[in-house]
Amino acid sequence: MIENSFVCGSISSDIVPDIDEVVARLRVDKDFSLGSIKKCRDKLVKSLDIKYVGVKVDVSYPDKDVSDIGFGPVKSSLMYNKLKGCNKAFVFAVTLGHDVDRLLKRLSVTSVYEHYVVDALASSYAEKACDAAQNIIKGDMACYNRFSPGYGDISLEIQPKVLELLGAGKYINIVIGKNLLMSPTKSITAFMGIK
Amino acid sequence: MKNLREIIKNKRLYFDGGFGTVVQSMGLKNGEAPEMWNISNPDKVADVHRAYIQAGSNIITTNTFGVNREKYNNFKELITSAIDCAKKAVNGREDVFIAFDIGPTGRLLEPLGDLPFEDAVSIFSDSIKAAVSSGVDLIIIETMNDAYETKAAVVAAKENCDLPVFVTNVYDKSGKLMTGANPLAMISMLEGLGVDAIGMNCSFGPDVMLDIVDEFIKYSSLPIITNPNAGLPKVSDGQTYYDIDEKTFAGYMTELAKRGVSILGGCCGTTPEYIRETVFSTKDIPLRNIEPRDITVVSSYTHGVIIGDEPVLIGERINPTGKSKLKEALRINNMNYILNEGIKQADKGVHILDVNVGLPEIDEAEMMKNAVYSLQTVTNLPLQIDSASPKALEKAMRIYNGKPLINSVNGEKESMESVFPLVKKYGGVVIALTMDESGIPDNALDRLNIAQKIASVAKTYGIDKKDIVVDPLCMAVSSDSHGAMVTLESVRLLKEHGFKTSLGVSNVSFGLPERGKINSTFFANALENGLDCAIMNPFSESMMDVYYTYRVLHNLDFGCADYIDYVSSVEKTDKPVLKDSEITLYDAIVKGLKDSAVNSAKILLETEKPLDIINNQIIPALDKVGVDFENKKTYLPQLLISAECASLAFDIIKDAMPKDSINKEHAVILATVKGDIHDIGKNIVKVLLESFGFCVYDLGKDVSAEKICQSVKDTGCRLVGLSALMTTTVPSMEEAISMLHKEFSTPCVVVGGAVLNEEYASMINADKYCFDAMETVRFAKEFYNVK
Repeated sequence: MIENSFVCGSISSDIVPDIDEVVARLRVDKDFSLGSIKKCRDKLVKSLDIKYVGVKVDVSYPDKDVSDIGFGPVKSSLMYNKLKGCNKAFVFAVTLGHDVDRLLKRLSVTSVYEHYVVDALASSYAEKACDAAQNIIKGDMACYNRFSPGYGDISLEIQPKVLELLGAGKYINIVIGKNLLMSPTKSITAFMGIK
Repeated sequence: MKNLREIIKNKRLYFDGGFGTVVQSMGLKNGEAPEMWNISNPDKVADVHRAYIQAGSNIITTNTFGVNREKYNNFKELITSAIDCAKKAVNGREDVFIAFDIGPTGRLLEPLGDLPFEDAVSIFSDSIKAAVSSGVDLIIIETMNDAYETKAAVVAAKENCDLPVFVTNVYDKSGKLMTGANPLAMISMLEGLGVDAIGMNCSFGPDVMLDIVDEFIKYSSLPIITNPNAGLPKVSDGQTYYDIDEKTFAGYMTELAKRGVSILGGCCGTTPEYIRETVFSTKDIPLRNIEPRDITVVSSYTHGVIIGDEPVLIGERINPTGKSKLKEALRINNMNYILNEGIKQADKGVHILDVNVGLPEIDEAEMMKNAVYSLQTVTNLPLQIDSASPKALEKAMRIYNGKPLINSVNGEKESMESVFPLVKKYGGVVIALTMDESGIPDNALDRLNIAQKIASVAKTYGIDKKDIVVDPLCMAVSSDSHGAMVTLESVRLLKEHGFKTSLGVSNVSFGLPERGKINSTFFANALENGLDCAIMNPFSESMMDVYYTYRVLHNLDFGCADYIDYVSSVEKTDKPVLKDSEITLYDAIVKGLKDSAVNSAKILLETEKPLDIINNQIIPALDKVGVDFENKKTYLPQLLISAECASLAFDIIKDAMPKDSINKEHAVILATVKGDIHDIGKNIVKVLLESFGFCVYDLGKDVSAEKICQSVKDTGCRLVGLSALMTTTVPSMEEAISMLHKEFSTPCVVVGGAVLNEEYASMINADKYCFDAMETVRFAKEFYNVK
C-alpha cells in the first residue's frame, strides 16, 4: 500500500496474463493453441521491464459531472460516476518499458506474424501489470474499479497532467508526445476511487 | 581570465545543489515553476545562489533547467533574467563560475518518441544563443536520460559557442539510461563530441552512484562529475522530503571523491547545508591524476565495442557491390530489405554492421542518412558508416546515435581535409587506408609510413591515434601473388607501432573459385599477425569457424562456452533431399511451417517451372487459408504465418525467374497516414499482398499526402492503400485522397483500419473500403484482373 502518499517500483516479468485477455487480443477462439505462440511469448518476456508509480490524492467535485483529483477540474460524467463521490483516490501508471517497443519495431521488419502476436501479448501483459500495480498500491483498502483516460468521455487531453502529477517521466520514464500517445507505448494510467 | 578547461584538470570543483527544494522553503507555491522567479523574485533567486557560494560551491547553475522555447514563449527573457540573478550573486568573483543549465525538453526523440533530432538541436540552440549573448562561463547539460537527446544538446552547444561543455546523465540502478545506454556508450559518444567533463546526476542517491562510478573512472579520459539526489523522495503531510541527511550524503561523497570523482555537487533534495558538509569532508582529498585512456571504442545508443582487446567482426552484407537484390532494394527505397540484412547479421553474432549504400543512380547521402537512422531502430549494434562521399558521411554522422566507425580516410590530402573535420565535430573512429597520391605501396614499410602520416595529420585536427584503425588493404592474390604476404606483414608491422588494424578479408580471394577456403585461411593468418577488425560475411561458416576457434586457442573464450554454443547451433548446409515423408509446399504453407516451405520450394525448383510452382502450390494454399479465415475456421495468427511461409517460398521462386517476369504492373502503394503511427494492420496487408505476388511499395507510417502523391508519380502505381487507426488521423486520410484525386486520374484509393467503415470511407471519398487484409487482396486481384 502507498505509505506517505507516493510509491514506485518494479514488477516481476513472471506475471501471467489472463487467458481470456490473450484470446481476445489475438482475435482467436479459446480452442486456439497458445503453445504455438510460446516462442513469441518468450521473446516478449525477455524484453519486459515493468515499472509502476502511484499517488494518493484528494478528490473534490466542483460541479455535477466535474471532478478534481489534483490538477484541476475534469468534466466527464463517466469519471464523476466511477469515483462515486469518494474523497480520496489512487492515481497510478504502469509501463512495460522501452525494450518492448524496440522488440516490436524489430519484429515489424522481420515477421508480421510475430509482430502481431507479440503486440497482442504485450497489451495483455500491460493489463496484468496494471492489476499487479493496483494490488500493491491499494493493499487491503477497498476501492472501486479502476478506469483510465480515453475511456468513454474521459478525454485523453488530461493525460499530460496525469503523468505530471505522478512524476511518471522522472520515476518510470513515461513521456507523452504531441499526439497524446505515451512512450513506451505499452503504458497505462488509471484512477481508483477509495471507498 | 578564467580558463576552466585547465582548472578542472588540477583542482576539485563543487557544483551547487537543488534549486527547487530551496525555493519551496522560501515560499514557491505548489505548481509554480521555479524559473518564473527569475522575473517575479530575482532577489530571492540571487539569494539562493549566494547561499550556495557561501557553502562552498564554485559552479553556480542558472535557474533555467525547465526553460526552452517549447515550454515558454518568453524563454529568452527567462534565460537572461536567470543569468542576471547569477551574476548578481557571483559579484565578479573570478573563482566562481556560472553554468548555463540545460535540462531535457520533456519530449522523447524519435524513433521512440515524436521529437525529430534536428528539432531538438534547434530547441537547444535557441536557448544557448540566448545564454551566450548574456555571458556565462560554461554549459551544463544535465538530467538527460536519453543518449540521443544528450547528443542533440551537445551538438547545439558546439555549434553555437566555444564554451566548456559539461554533461551529466541520469542512470538507473542497473547502471543505464532510460533508453539503454551504459557508461561506456556515453563516455565514448561524449568524448568523441569533445565535451570537457562528464558524469551523473539525479535519479537516486549517492549510494547508487558508487556502484556505477568505477565504470567512469575505468574508461573516461575526462574529469568526472557526480551530482546525486539526497536519496529518494517521500511525502508526509503534503510535504516532500528526502531520506538521506547532510552528513550521510557527505559520507558518500567522500567515498566518491576517493574513488576519483573530481567535481561534486547535489541535485533534488540537497540544500546549501549538503554542499557545506560535502566541501568540508572532501576538500583535503587529493585529486586523482586524470590520465588519457588509450581505448579505441565505437558505440551505439546502448553499449560500446572496444577495438583491440579481441577480434571484432564487422558484417559486410549491406554493400551493393555484387548484390542485385540489394541494388534493387536501394533503387525502390525498400528499407525493410536493408533492415533485414542488418538483423540477420546481428543474429549471426557480428559486433559492428557496415553500411554502404553507394549506388550511382540514387541520392547516396540521403539514403545513407535514412539507412543509418532506420538500422538504429532495429539493432543496437554500432555501425560502420562506409562511403567515399563526405556529404553522405556528414549526413549520417550527424544523426548517428553514438560514436560510429567511419570508413574511410586515406593518405591523400583531399581525403584527410574532407573527413577529419567531420570526425572532429561528430566523433568517431576512422578507418585509415594505406594509400595516397602515389597509390598503394607494394611493401609493408611504405604502408606503415602512410599510416603514420595519416595519424600525424589527424593530430593537427585534434584526433588522437587511438581513434584511428588502419586498413593496410588486401589485394587479390589472383592478380598479385605477393599481395597476401605483404598485407599480413603490414598488419604485423602496424601492430608493433601501436596501430589498431582492420581488413576487408574476402578481397584476397577475388577472382578465384572456392573463395571460402582462401578467405578463412587468410583470416586465420591475419588474426595471428594481430588483426583487430575483420570486415567479413558472417554467413560464411568457415570464417566463423576461424573466429570461434581462434578465441578458444588464445584463451579468449572462458570455459570454451561460446565455441560450444556456436558448434551446437550451426545448421547443416547439405543440399535438401526429398524424403517420402516430406510434406508438400502447399501443406507447408497451409500449416505455417516455415522451414518446410523453404525446403519444399528449393526441391520443387529442381523439377518444376517457377510459374507452375506459384500457380499450383503457393496461390492455392493461400486461397485455402484465406477462405478458412473468412469462414472463421482459422484465425489471424494462422493466416499471417501462412502468408509468411508463402512469402519465403515466393522469394526463392522469384530468384529462379527471369527478371522481367516479375510483374511490377500489379503494384500497390501502402501507407499509414500522417499523424498515425500504427502499422500492424498495414503490415498484415503488405505481407498478404506480397505473398500473392503483388509488388508492394511500403511508405511506412505517419506519411504525408505529398509523399504519397510523389510515390505515385515515381512508380506509376495505380492502386493505393491507406490505413488509419486513430479517429484524429482520418482527416489526414481525407486530405491524401483529395490530393490524389486532384493530381491523378488514377489511382484507385482503397482504405482500411479500425476507425473506418463503409460510411466513413464514402464520406472521405475513398474508392473502396476493405474490412480486412484478405478483402484487400481480393480487391487487388479484381482490380488488376488477376485470377
